[in-house]
Amino acid sequence: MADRILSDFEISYIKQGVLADMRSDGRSCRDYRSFELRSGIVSNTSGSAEIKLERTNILVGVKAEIGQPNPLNPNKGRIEFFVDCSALASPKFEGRRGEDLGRNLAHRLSDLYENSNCIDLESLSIIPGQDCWIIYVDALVLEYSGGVLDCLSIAVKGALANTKIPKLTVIGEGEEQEIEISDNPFDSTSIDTNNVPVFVSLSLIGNQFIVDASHEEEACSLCQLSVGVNHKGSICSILKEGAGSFKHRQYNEAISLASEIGVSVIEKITLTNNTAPEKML
Amino acid sequence: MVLSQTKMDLDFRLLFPEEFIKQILDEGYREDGRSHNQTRSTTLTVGSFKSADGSAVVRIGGTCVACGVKGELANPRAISPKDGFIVLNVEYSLVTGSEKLGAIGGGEKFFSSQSLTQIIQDIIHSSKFINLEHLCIEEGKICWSLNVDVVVLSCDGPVIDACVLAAVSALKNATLPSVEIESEKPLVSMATRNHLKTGQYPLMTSFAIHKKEVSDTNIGVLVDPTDDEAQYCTGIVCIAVTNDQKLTGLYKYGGPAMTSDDIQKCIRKAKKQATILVKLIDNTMK
Amino acid sequence: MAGAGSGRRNRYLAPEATRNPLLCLKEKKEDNSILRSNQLRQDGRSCTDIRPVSIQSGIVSHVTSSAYIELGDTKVLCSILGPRHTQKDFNLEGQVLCQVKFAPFSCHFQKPSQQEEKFMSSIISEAIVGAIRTETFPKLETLVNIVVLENDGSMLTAAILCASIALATSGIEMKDLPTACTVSYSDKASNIYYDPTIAEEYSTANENKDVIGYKSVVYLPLLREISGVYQVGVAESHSVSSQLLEACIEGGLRYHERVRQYLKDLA
Repeated sequence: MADRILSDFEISYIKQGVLADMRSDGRSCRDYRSFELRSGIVSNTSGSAEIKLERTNILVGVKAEIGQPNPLNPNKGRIEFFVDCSALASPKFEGRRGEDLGRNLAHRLSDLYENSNCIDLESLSIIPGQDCWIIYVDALVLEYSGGVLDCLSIAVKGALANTKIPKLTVIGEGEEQEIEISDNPFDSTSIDTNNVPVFVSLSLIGNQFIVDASHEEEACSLCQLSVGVNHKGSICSILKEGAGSFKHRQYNEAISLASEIGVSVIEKITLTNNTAPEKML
Repeated sequence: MVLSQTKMDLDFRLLFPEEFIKQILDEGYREDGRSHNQTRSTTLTVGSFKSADGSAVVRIGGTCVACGVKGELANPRAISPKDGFIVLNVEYSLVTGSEKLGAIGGGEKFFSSQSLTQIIQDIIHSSKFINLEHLCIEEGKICWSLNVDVVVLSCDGPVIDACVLAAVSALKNATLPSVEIESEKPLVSMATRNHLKTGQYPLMTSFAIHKKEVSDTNIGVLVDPTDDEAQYCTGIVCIAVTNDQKLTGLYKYGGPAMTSDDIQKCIRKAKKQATILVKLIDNTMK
Repeated sequence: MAGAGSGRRNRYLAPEATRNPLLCLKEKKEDNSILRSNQLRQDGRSCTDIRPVSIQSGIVSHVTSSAYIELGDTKVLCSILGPRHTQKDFNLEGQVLCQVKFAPFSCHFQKPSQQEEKFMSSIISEAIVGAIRTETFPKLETLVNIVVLENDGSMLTAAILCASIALATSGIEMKDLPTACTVSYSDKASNIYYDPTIAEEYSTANENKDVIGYKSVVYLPLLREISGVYQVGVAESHSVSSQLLEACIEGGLRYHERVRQYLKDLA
């Protein structure tokens, strides 16, 4: 994901800073930057959220629609992710170049949600084998300056927590079942997002893993570890990206650091959700 | 007779491959010591891929082709409610390196994967190898659709011969589970598996043709050309013969004009090769 | 679920929609658990046993080198092309491009989508590039092409081992020989299964309740460094992750011995 070209002096400055546990912006290797998460900002969606972390800005909208379940899992609903890295986020996304990154990010998210069983998909089923709720999560990267995967996962968690799904009743039996959606717009259920994990990315600079790398730090990192962590500190997913390699000890320290950071980030999100004003229709 | 491999021969071969092949062929020899009328030995293995319902791997010299058959349930077409489907596809896998390096080898030079797919599909259908009615489970409602995927793993000579043999062997090896219909829904029972009912099957032999320098009217015909020989030759003739010695397909692409005697010679050779392959298939299927 | 998957050119003869017969089974599988009563797995192995490995090299013609590996029923073929000229921008380091493709008949259910193939390709290429001395072929590129002929679990392991052997026989200078191992684990890592088959690997389509995830690690034994990690499923704490890592490295070293033996016999 690194696209900034740094001079040798800049790279050496960053590496020495990391060694001394004093990064360019004064943080230690374990400090996360503060981010701003607002939910319920887009009115014609079932749920939405926006995250701002320094120069990275991502907007997520969620829509719930009725459709057919996956034949492999006829009793479960579905979640589909789509990430749009448009050209306005960064000049390197001009034309279709942002598509690859968008597809990659969407794939990482769907991998995480599928394999950590964080959302009760069975509750999204309406008529098993025939109809279910399909949750479409669309993310728009408005501004890109590194740390995109982390921010994306936080914004998606915020948007899902904010999502309202209309209540419905199933009338009839057997082949003649029909769905009736409640007329009252306030009559809705929400999705339980307590177990939903977030990504914590760690970058390897020199011999040390650092949390929440800035754009410049990402550019001189040898490799990245992105770890999915849930509110209990359990590890839901690990992927190493980039061409570098590391030792056991560094890996173990990184994972335990990610676990701690993940828990504190999720605490912050929950705090934001609880204090955010309810969107008035 | 194997040619001596002195350093000068090897250098000449590296610098002027076409000239080298041309001189050898004009003298009546071939690089690997075969005569012009000799084929390489063929190896056949069936049933190695358990994820497929039927499979076969064919090796002819350096050419290696794998074929897998997977059955799926489908609704038959309205115009032919009693027929199932056989969907055949040939692809050059990435490992052959042929797509990236451009046209290399007799395989890619003469046959792209689309032409191979078309030719083999035509041969299999026209030789009435598998009657599509046997793939029907319930008329108008449910039938089998066989996905026959031929993957070329290594190209060194007549890819089309290997593909036909692989497709035929995989289909003969394929077993499909039994299906019952209960209230309009199919129920598949993996406990019993049945082989497909097969009829006469086609076998292909390829020949490369080139014009002899010595005399303009003379055509040199090579059976089972390797990659390098095919590069030098300008035309290719493929002859498909069924297991009971009936001619079922004849394709000629490019090259100099041939007399009917030349064609008859090729057909005779193809028939002899078919007998050898029939024995090979029978021995392997036991 | 359309039977005519991506890239099928024979559309005019294919039916519009097909169903996989495995989804319409009459009999449900009786015994879904991994371990039988005698603490052995369904195929007779103990939890820590790996399947027998079978290796062959030099099968594909007209490429720099090739290797074929069988891990039980998982069959993977790899070929190396290059180093050769590239149209891309100038680079002081040689480029290594890895592509993984699944044969259409390789999986019981649907074969992985193009996106998943790309994902696997990037994991593998980032894992092996650390072991190749790319400074020996500047301005050039090397292609590593991998085809999975049959997937019966541990596909990433088989692909990495296959690529290692092909690279070792290709004449490209290497710093180390990458090795890999996959393990699947049950709740709280009370059971760790080395080299799982596809039925023992965790996936949402799998009805197996015994396994809750799996982890694949690519390890460079000489440098003693980890160059690839992929873990799915919920591991209760970071100590569980470390336990799995140790298991993977131990398994990887066993495969490494086997590969070294093969290369020694080849010479």
